[in-house]
Amino acid sequence: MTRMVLANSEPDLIAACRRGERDAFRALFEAYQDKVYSIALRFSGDESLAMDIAQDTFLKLFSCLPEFRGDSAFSTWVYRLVVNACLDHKRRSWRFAPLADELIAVLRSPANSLDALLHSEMRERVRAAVETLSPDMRMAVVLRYTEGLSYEEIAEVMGCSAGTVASRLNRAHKALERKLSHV
Amino acid sequence: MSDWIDLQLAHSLAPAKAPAALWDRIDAALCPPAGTAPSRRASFRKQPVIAFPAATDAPSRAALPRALRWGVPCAVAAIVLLLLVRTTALELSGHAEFASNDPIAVEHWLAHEAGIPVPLRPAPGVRITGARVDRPGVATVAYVVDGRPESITITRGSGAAPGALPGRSLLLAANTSARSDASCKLCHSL
Repeated sequence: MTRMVLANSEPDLIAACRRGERDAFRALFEAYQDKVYSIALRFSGDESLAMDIAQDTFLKLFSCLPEFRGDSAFSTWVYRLVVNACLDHKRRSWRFAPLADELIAVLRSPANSLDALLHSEMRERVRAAVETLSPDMRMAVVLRYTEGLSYEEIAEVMGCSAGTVASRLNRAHKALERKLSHV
Repeated sequence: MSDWIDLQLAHSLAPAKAPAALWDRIDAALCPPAGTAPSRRASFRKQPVIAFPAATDAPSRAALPRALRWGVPCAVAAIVLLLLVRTTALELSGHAEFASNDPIAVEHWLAHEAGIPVPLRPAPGVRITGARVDRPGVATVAYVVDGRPESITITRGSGAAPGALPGRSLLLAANTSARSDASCKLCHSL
């Protein structure tokens, strides 16, 4: 699993957070913000929802830091928090304007070349296909392709076996092949 | 096809950069801006207004089965009446309130509305019924223990009972004397 490179060592930073040092909170946030936001965005497909999920994740992280016992890597613990936040939001909300942000971004783009539009459309279709996957399959796909985690790492984050992860990814691949075969 | 899917997924699901506004939102949730004038004086009453969600929830649960026996039109009328009573109570109380039995939902609402990150959790024997923002940075959580509605008022500060959040001390005032440990269970395993 890719570890964060921090100015202080991670245990020192966590200890400083537990002491309530504001700079340590900020440093921890800086270290993990892109990872947390990326997972939230790729899972939800919605920028504002991703912001909500990321905010919830960090509030939970800061409030639950005393409960982190170091049984697993800190990054694994953070991944678990964001995965739970994603699944929690999924249970509580529907998405009414899928992929509108992407479309607006393309229309606003100064270089509206045909090539860029085609690439954007392909990304759009792939993301739309990913969004039709079940939450568990989608999360496995996001952790694999957005974060580049191994099957074992995904299994640790999602609380299942590596075999289950392999099965979910295999089924996701087959489902995506069916959905994107006409492209 | 599989390699193509791999390539497309890696391309389409590439990591994104978090917007700069994310820290501002988190910072605001952790520390609401100072100087915001309180809309009302904080009330640390023995019988807080927050007790009303539990009070309106209980009759609604009792009334609905009876209304359903009377027929659908009566049931609809009963629901509308209960919603009107509840809405009026909300308006009269003048506080932002949230009724829910889900500790996580209440926790998120408190963090968003009051900027108070209280790590609420499900606890045996204690049922959360909702929360209310008394003024910026001061909130009350309502819960039911042994069938009795009780509440706890939470604000920032240092004192004898610091909360669990690192760097944030929370002052807690339980509006009960009967089961003081029940309020602790809202956030802590005992």
